[in-house]
Amino acid sequence: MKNAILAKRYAKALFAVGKEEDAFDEYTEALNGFAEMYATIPEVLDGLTNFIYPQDVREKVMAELVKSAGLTGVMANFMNLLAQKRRADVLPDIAETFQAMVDEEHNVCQGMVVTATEIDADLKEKVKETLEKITGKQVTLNTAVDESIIGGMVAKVGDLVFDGSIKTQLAGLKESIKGSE
Amino acid sequence: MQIKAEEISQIIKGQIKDYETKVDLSETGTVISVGDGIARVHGVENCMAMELLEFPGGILGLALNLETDNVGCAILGNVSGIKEGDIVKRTGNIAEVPVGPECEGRVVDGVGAPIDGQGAINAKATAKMEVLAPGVIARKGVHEPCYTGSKAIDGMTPVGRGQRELIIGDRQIGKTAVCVDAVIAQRETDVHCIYVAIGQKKSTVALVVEALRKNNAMDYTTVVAACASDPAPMQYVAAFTGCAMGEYFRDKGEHALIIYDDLSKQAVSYRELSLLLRRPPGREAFPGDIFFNHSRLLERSCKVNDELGAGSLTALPIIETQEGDVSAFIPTNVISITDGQVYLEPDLFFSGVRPAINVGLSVSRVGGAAQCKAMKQVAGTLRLDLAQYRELAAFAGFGSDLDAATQAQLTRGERLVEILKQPQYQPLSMQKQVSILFAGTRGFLDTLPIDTLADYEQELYSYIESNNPDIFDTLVEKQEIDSALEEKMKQALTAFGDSFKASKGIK
Repeated sequence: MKNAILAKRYAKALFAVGKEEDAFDEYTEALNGFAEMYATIPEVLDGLTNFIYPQDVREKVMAELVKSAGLTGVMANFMNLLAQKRRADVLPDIAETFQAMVDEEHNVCQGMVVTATEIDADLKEKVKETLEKITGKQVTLNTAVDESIIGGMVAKVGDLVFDGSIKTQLAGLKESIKGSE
Repeated sequence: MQIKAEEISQIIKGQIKDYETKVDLSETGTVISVGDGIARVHGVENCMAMELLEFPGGILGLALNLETDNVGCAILGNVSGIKEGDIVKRTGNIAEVPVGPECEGRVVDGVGAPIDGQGAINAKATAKMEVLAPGVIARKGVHEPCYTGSKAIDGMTPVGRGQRELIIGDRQIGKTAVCVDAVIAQRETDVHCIYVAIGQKKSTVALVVEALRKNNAMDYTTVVAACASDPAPMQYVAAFTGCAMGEYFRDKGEHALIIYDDLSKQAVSYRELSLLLRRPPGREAFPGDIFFNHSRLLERSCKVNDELGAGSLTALPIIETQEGDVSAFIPTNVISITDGQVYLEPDLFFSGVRPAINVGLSVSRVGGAAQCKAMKQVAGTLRLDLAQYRELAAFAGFGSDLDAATQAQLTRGERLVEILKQPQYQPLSMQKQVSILFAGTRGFLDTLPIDTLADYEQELYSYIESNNPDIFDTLVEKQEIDSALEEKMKQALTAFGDSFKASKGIK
């Protein structure tokens, strides 16, 4: 909860800079890259936030990371600032909030379609169009495969979920039989 | 409940037939944190206040706090299956409960789901738990009596249909008994009853239900039970659930009686809920809107005007005091909201005066208008007589040199106290109450020993029923004692008094 508020503050500041510089894509990419690195290599977060290491060492770690990621200018400064302010742990939340703000600005929203088997491009385009019609926004569609839904499709956009999966229908069937007991 | 294999195959067949037709559209969020019956949910952006949210496993939650980035939600059910990251669905419904005649005779939980093992409630109507009370124009003065069947209450603190009369007192001195008797007393009337048990032991609720069933009172009664083991949100909403069920009858132009047993526990569960939702605590750690909680609930009990069908919802809220302390926060609040209170006292209870009603502290602010003329005629001086008796009795304790007038007053008082005693589960009809009070206040009992009065009362009723049934008939019909009836009653009482004395060997 605390992180959500913090992330909003940082993301808002970065968003303001990004608007002036017109560099949303660059920032998004850098933030998402870092967030992914956090998720895949847990030691990074530890190295950046663990109080066992002195503050200056932690700042140096961040500086090295920034250098190796090839970040310059505003993004480099932003990352270093986070390390300096001991807020490196908030970064994934910032990435998420920033993405949401950029999406809002571009009238885009993130969609997700989950199927039991790989989906073909034609169908994906169709789903995308339908979702765009419903939300009135451009939809960036990601796909995922989840065999546990058995069949059908689950489409998510924002908080909306269209659940046409066989798993859910079977669950509904089960409930209705239970309910009539 | 028997499960028929044939039925299940039918259901499955039906389901499979229209299998392809539905896509489940929902707005969702995720659980951020959960604990103590409260969940914080991220997402569900268009969620409304008091909306029901569905957690995995069909557990429902009530959205109470809407904040910028999360929704504070009270879980109405078992919390243990819910974990962080669970998907929460909006139902789009403001909390609703089943209402109507189908609910009668049933025992339901805090949200209206049956818990008596008699199958689903197929109610045709549902009603919102939280609605605004009727406004000023929609109302009408309370003018008809709602008999509780207790001589002391109907005589001195009468309750009218649409009134809110508080029953207040310490633990274990018969608060519930008074109310259960009031429910049983509605057997011969057109009043529907709702008994809301909040924060009580399940065994106590079972006893009440059993008592109601034994007295044929379950046919017109719904029991809403949110017991001590239910989560705090359930106990909090149970009162509103019961109220919604009562309102159904009120708005249909019928009459209903609702008993909240008890509102102190409801306040405690609301305090728990509020503190867990991090609302700031106030006096006695109750939240700032604890007064509003009770006032909006009790304000829904009222008498509506003729255009709206002249229905009524009478409320008998119960408040439990600690060591007779009526000046604590919740008791003062509820006393100020209600239209009077019946104050029960431990000293009276243990000295054998049951119901243990303290006549001096009990009042009914609108009841006078809701008393029939006959009752007014016999009970008009009752309160005053008893007050004078208590005053004199305090002095009489010092010595025995009393003049005849004082002696007479003491004799009268002792007998009045005696006839106001009443055994449990035996509510009396208006005409019976009037006849015994008539005997008491007109001095027919002054010559009888006190310990024979209980027998006298029982025999009097059967005597009138067998010898002068027209007395009861006229009372029911005219609702007043005119000079002819008075003469007849006097004659009957004199005749009965003589035969009673003879049978008991009293000179």
